[in-house]
Amino acid sequence: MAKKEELRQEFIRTPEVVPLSSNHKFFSLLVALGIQQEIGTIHDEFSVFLFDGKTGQKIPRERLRSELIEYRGYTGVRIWAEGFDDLDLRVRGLRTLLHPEFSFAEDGRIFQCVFFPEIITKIAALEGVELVSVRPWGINTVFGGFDPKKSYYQGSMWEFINLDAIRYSRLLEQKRIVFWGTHDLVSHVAGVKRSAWPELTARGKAARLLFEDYFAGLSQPAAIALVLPYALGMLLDDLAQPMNYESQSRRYVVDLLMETIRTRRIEGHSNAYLLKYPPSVEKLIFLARSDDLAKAHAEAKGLLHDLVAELHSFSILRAS
Amino acid sequence: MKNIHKTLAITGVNLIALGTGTADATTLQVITSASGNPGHVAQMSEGQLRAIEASHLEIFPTCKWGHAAFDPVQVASETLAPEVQSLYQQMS
Repeated sequence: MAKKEELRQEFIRTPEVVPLSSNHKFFSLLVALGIQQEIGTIHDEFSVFLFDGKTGQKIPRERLRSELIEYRGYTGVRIWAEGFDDLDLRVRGLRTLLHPEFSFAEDGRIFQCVFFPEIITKIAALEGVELVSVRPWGINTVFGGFDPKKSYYQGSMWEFINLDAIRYSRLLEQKRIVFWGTHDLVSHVAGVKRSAWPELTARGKAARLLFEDYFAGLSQPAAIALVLPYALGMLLDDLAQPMNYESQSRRYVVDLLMETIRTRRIEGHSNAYLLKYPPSVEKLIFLARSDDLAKAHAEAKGLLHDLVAELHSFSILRAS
Repeated sequence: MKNIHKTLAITGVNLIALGTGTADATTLQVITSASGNPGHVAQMSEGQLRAIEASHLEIFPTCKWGHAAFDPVQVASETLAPEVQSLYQQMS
């Protein structure tokens, strides 16, 4: 614990957003720690895609183990599953992030998973993408009073959203991916491709400009004004996942959300109190994720109309 | 959108419901009471009310940022590009 506190003290002195390559050894240790801490917990996204190569069955999360390792000056993380020696990773691109010598048996089986964040950072760079540290997110995850049983965001997550939305869109604009844990590893880095980034960059820039204008002069918008940006940020995060690079239905709903925010049907500066989270958000997200463009064309505008109507009808202003 | 404002009286404080929907000012009073704040809305600070609002607005678990938004797929063996092989060789 003393060592971790020392790391935290050093970490809080780093810039808010900085490439991992600026201090490969230090940040590789933090990333390896972030991944190692999540393995086997509810935050473990790696386990979601881990199957038994022999039976085809999902490997229970509780069987996973992990430890930090060091090899010739490189810090990494070793992950294995108790009682399983044939691991099937069901995400495209994840195998190429494994250290081949330490992860594969001679017959081609994956018997354990060994990752070195420094090497992964260089693999991403080959695709023109920069892996970065975002300090507030690192504090919230790797060092944030980490409780494996709890969600990262506790209660007041609305305080984070506007800053996160702007920060996230700026990262996209700059071809940057934050790399702190299993979600980033599995969903964003595995399978990363240079060809997807011109569009992601353009979308990131457009969203960043939109948010800056929408929230101009505000440090803490009300929750009612954050629902649409949150949904937009979430779908941009979806599109930045290589498995979703080609998702036309997401692209369509992203465009509609941007248009709805732009037209101020919900004011960015609204100070109403939102009494209920609008259920149409979930329907809209499901529709975007359906990968059914015809259905999205048919239903998305109506759902967005309903969503705006719910935001109005579920909110109240204090008169004075 | 042109909002229709409806003034609702609630024990000493006027609240305005926005839009044409069903927002009920008493809901806020119920929420504040359930949050351990039995006082009237009128007596609460902006910060108190915002904290109560944030604490009860639970985002649906299926709609949380930062999760994989795809299903597992079976993957055939993947070949390392020469540049990637080179990175691993440099470690040895």
